Amino acid sequence: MDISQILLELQALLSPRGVLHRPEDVLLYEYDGALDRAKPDFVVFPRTTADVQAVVRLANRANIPFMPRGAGTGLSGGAVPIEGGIVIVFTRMNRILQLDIPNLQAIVQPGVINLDITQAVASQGYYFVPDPSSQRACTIGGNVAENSGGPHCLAYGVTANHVLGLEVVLPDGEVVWLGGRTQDVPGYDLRGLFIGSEGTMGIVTQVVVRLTHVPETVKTVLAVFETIEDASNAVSDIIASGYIPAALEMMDNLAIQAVEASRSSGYPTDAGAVLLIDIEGFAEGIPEQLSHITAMCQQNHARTVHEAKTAQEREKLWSGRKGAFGAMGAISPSYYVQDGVIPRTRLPEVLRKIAAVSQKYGFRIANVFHAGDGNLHPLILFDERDPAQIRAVVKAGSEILQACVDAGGSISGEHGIGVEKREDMALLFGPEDLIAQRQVKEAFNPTGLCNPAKVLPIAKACYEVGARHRRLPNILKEEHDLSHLGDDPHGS
Amino acid sequence: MAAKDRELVALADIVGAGYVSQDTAPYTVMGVEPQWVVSPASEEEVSAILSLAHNLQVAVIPWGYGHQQHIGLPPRRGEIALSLRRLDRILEYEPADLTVTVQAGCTLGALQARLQSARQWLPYDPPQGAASSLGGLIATNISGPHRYRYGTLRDLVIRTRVVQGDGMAFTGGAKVVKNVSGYDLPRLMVGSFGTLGVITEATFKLQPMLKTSQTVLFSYHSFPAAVAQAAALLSTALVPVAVAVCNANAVQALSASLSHLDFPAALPSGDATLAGWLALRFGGVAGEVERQVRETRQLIQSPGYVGEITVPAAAQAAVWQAIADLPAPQGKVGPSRQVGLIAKIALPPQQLPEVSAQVQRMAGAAGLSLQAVAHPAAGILYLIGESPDQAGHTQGASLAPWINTLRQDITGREGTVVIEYYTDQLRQATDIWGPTSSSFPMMVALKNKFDPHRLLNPGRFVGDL
Repeated sequence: MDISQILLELQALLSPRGVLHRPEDVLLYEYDGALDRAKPDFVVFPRTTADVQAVVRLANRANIPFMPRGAGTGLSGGAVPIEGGIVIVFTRMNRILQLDIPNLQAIVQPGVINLDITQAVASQGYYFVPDPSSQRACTIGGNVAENSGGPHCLAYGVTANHVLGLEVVLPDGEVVWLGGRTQDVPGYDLRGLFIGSEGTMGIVTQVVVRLTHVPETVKTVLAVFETIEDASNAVSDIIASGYIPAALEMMDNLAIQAVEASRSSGYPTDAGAVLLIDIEGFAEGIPEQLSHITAMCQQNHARTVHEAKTAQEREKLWSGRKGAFGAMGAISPSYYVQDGVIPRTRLPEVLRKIAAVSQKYGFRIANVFHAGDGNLHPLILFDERDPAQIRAVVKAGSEILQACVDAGGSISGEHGIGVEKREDMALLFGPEDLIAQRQVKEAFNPTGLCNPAKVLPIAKACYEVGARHRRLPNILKEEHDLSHLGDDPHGS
Repeated sequence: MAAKDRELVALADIVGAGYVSQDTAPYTVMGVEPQWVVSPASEEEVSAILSLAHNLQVAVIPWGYGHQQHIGLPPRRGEIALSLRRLDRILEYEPADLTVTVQAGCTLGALQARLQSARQWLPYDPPQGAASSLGGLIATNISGPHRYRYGTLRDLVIRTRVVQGDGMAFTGGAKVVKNVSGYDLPRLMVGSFGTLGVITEATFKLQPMLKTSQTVLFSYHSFPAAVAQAAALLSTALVPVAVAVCNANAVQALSASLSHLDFPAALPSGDATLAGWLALRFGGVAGEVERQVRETRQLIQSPGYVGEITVPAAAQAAVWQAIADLPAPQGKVGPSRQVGLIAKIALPPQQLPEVSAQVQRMAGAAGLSLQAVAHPAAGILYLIGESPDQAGHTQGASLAPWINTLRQDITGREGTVVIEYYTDQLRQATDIWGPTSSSFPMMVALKNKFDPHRLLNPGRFVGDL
């Protein structure tokens, strides 16, 4: 089937307006929030599960790749069409199909924006818990693909804990339900396996999400420390004390400076580190938690422990954290973010190693992260206009992931593997572990046409030759910057 | 000695002669007696055993302590019983990380005892849990009333080591509480009934022990009234840590089993046959516990409410374990409990009140005496048939039409019915696992990758996986 024949068939299926194919039209779909980019052959906008099924069947007949795409905010290249093909975009499947408050469930289409679910039920006192920083833009389909997290996952869990069932178009075009409205369905937990599979096991067309009651009281505390060491020890002590807050976020001095330079959020710029802590629940339970958490901070030499007095002040403190990645633009031309996770007790040690990597390569590294669950987000600041820096920043990133793995951790906590960390999987997993993962992928996606070249290392030879990173990524200045920089993204 | 038997002598080379036995009667599963019981001491030995079995094409039945072996169909075959009991170590425990790594043969009781010293626990209370191996619990994914707050093992297992059919051992997940590196193999393994591989090691997320907690039993004139009350409570802002609803027969069994406690109020007063209990446990810091108990009392207004019993702090653990143990055939519930049927119904949760009433009517019409215990937020209802000889029902094929009618109704409500414990007659006349789902072909595809010769627990799981 030649390319013009595929176009005609796609247009017949979805109407000409439902298909983009001219290079200038598909340009916007070359990239996501990460580094890599590649041009799709077609971008399609289905309205129904049947549309998605028809597109998938056509792609199979034509033997070309296909992959889903939500809002393109992903941070590992999961939505980038590395081998071209058809990108299936869900902007026309963005309806909340059913709100079922008595069952604390909602059925939504994959293109529904994360925050829109919460907004639809907020007046009745409910919300959808996972809160990635991109929640105003990112879609539930993408959240399912990446098993997205967010600051409040410390207490309430990630997407996998809040999704009960999925309607999926499998890579061969079959439509099935994984999980559903009932729990403990006999058989393998394909729902659990699918969540976080980054679009390589099929395409989600409906999602049954869990709704949660909004906590009655939320208190936000800003604890200011002279050193990152003290702040890390406070995190360990808080977790060990058994008073686990709803969110426990850390920012180091460089991150504070960037945030304060771009918008004032009330963080003291001379602090070594700050902890941003949310305590939630019934009003009667707050004082005891607050006093213990405050004591843990003071015990670790906190300069001040300040409780936000108004909703506006809470908002302001959180706006600094949520805008922290973007704020790097105020102090650096470019940044490169990692997403490693470590056991919480190893925080001080791994942060020291990150500081050593910073020294070694001469890059400033800002740390903004989910300290409560040990999910680091080191932001390596560099200048993308210097090709030597691009090479070095990738090496520095890999050294940080190695440090996470050495500390007993993992290479990604919530951003996913995608294309970007595909070869880094070998840092964490041995050959047998990767064979087991490949078995899973092949069971669902035997032709490999569904979102190819993601999650698993491509070829042994490739990463032997090119060390751990077989190619130079294109590093973007901002998440949505269109500037395309760097050399051939597919060279090894 | 058959050729295969001679080759199986190689088992002794793997584990040492003292750890291979032909004293296999205790490892008989539903009439299928293995030829060998082998007890490896390491994952390498498990790997070597499975590799040998793979080459010889003999079937392997993984064993912990056998408390869940009643669930599922009889194995089609099973030459080797693979006991994981010697793999019983706690490998890594760093309290401040709130994670623990154990070998599969470690019991939940041994683990909890160790965690208790650091005032932590695995928030998980399955039937017969204390004496069960963690490997067996993961394989069967059974759960108890604390799933309301903490979820099932699918939410608590963050890493597994598994030996697949051909002997290859692999890790899935990592020893950190948040992780999206690669596919979620631990979730795939939880509840796979040993049909994809033998679990040798697992890492769990832990919780600090509750600072304080309070359990209140609200009694009702009827089971459906108690279930309806539970449903109403759970859509409020209340966040109990455990919830269960028991019918009259279950209450009676519980009262008998708890009678040794200094807890006379546990015995239901008046006409016990009408009773239903809604059991709620609230936990956390004192202020929030008191507030929630107070609020619950205000909300308990529904028709049929009789009264409440506050469980003394010292008796809480025993009460909840007794409730958890109801759907277990060897449960310590009742002095001489003989179980003939355990059925697990899973429904969209809001259907539970109606179904509870209907099941009660259906049981009454058929003259069946059933214990019922519901996990209302999960939409789960266990039916336990006691005394096999009672009216001959739970013994004979006459129960089958009843089950089949029930399943028809439940299927129409998007629910499932699994018969977790049954008599031979019942098995021959009904479907133990019920129909497979639309995604079943993907399950077969996975099975074919992980155990292509179909030698791990063959025939036991849904759809002959």
